[in-house]
Amino acid sequence: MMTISKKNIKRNGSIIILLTLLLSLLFNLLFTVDINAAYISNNLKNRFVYDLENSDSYRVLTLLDTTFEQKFSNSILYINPHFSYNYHEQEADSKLNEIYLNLYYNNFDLRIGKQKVSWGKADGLVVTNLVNPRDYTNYPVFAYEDQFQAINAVKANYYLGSDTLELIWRPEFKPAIYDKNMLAANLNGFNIDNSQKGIETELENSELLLRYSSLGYEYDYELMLAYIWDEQPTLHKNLVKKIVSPVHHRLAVVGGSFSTMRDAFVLRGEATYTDGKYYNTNDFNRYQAGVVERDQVKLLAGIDYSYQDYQLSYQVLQETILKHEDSIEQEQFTYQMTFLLKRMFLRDRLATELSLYYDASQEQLMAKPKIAYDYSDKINFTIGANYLLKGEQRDDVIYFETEYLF
Amino acid sequence: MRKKSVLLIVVVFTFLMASGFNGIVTSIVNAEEAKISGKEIMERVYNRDEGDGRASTLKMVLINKHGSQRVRKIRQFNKSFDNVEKKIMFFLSPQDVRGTSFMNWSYQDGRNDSQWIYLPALRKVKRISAENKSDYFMGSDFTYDDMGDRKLEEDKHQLLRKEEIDGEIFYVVESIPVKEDYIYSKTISWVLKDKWIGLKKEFYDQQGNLLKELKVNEYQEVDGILTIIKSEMENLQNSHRTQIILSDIKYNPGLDANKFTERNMKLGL
Repeated sequence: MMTISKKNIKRNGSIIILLTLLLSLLFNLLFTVDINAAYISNNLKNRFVYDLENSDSYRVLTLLDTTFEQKFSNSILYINPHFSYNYHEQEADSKLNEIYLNLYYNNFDLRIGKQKVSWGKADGLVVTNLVNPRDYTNYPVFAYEDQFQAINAVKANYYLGSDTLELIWRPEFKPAIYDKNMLAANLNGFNIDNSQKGIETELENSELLLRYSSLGYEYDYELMLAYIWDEQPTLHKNLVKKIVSPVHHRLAVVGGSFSTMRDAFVLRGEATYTDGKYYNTNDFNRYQAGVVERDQVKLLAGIDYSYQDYQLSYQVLQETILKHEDSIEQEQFTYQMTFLLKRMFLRDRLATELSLYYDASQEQLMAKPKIAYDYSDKINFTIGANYLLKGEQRDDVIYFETEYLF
Repeated sequence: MRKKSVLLIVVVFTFLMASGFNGIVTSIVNAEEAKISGKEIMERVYNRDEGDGRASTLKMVLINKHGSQRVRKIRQFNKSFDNVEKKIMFFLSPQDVRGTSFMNWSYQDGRNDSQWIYLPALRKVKRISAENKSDYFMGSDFTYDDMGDRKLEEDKHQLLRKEEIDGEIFYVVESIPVKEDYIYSKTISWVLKDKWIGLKKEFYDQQGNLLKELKVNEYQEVDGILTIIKSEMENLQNSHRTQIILSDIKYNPGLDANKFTERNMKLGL
């Protein structure tokens, strides 16, 4: 078991990345002659969110997203700070979404810093897209990409024509972020012990992800390998002391994805095989701490269809626990499905959208209708809702958003 | 009888001499022109020299019937490689599409095109269907086909007539889609004689009514190649117009296959 030092984790990881970034920037500036103009853009949003379950509850948020890009002769410096203000809570917050330096050469790129990377062919559902951990506190989810956290990493790309070999090194582990209430709901009278939750930032604890991707006439495909920590902790239980300890385990993942076009359809698929995944079990006699290690297989199939102003998309994801036993709390087969119907009007200025998300194991069906109007190229309006059509954990909202780009 | 034959030869020879050598040449050329078919004219338009690749900036001005304007800017590159023509577009403005890129590989052997789009918010290159060439491009009055994606053999071409406009001779060619369910029932092109460049085109809807009209307002030689600089497409049924202005044009810019890759879509190099 790894020793814990939350302070050290944050400090050491940040120092490594910051030093590497500064050295790279210095190196780059020394060898740069041609400097292009910087590009700065801002996205200011005002969002009003009304909780349908609690008529007294509403939130008014102001969000400012700034993008700064500076191109040098063989590199790009990218900085994306984010500011928010919650009028209801009277809370201001700021964070650096991303900050990285991308160095590029003939057939080689190197990106260093805090960044987001997307893998695979799925939209929203996670199979091979394991680079960035998720943040489940961002609710309601307005865009799938918002659910991922940026990570400190070094990304190296080597190009062979239309093919790419990508290696990502994450020196520090970053877990998924959960709402405290979600965890509390699963404690069942146990006390929580977070002493085993952290992973110390050491070389042996760093994470590696490798991907080979190719674009071709008929097929695009990706093959991936990952040696990472499970972003979701497994709850180890001590029945005597009535203590629950969240623990992250090492995972070895191998997988791939593809997409291909058949007439007006685009077919997509993803698959992974995971070794080292832990699940909770009720059989404390056979399995210490109520956890058991089982391999896992994930399979995803998706289809997109577009005709004139219409766009349709459907995905189904199956997760299978191999050598499953009845005592394992999670079912052997679990399914998630997504459906999207989108239609554009008025020369792409008005977009109407209905997306559905179904989680079969939770018996939860979420509908997300949305209408977005592009008033000018700088001002947009969006009205939408997140509405649970089936399920118990209701958190229904309607929202209205204005967006100003400058 | 023999005297009559000799006399006839002398008369014909004298007539030919009197009409002059140029007249003979003109007659031969006219005979050739009379034989040229609509397909041959359009072949020459399609196969006009476009150099070994091209880089340019495209500005699109969308104008509605009230005169309100929206501007889109794209930097684009294209080049033919053996059996495939590759094109990559980088969207520069408006701000909400900046960083988006689009890539098309068009195969000369009749296979379906391959198309991808890169959306910076998703950080992902996505394959998209290349079937819907009759979709409108970025809310403009141009479909993907109108932008140059349509292939010669997808229409039957017929020379209707020759017309003289402002002292220049044009071939007027009617093109009818081979597939009946196409967005247009026919198009009519005005092709400038000897230069093989289309300067006007009419698009008819499925009911046979005039839907759109494309006019070239300016063309010039760039790097020795005749290039359309300014054109305007007008939808006559809803009075919406789109102007296209090409700038920063460079032929033979030394593009290699690495320009048309996933890496470039993401980096926008």
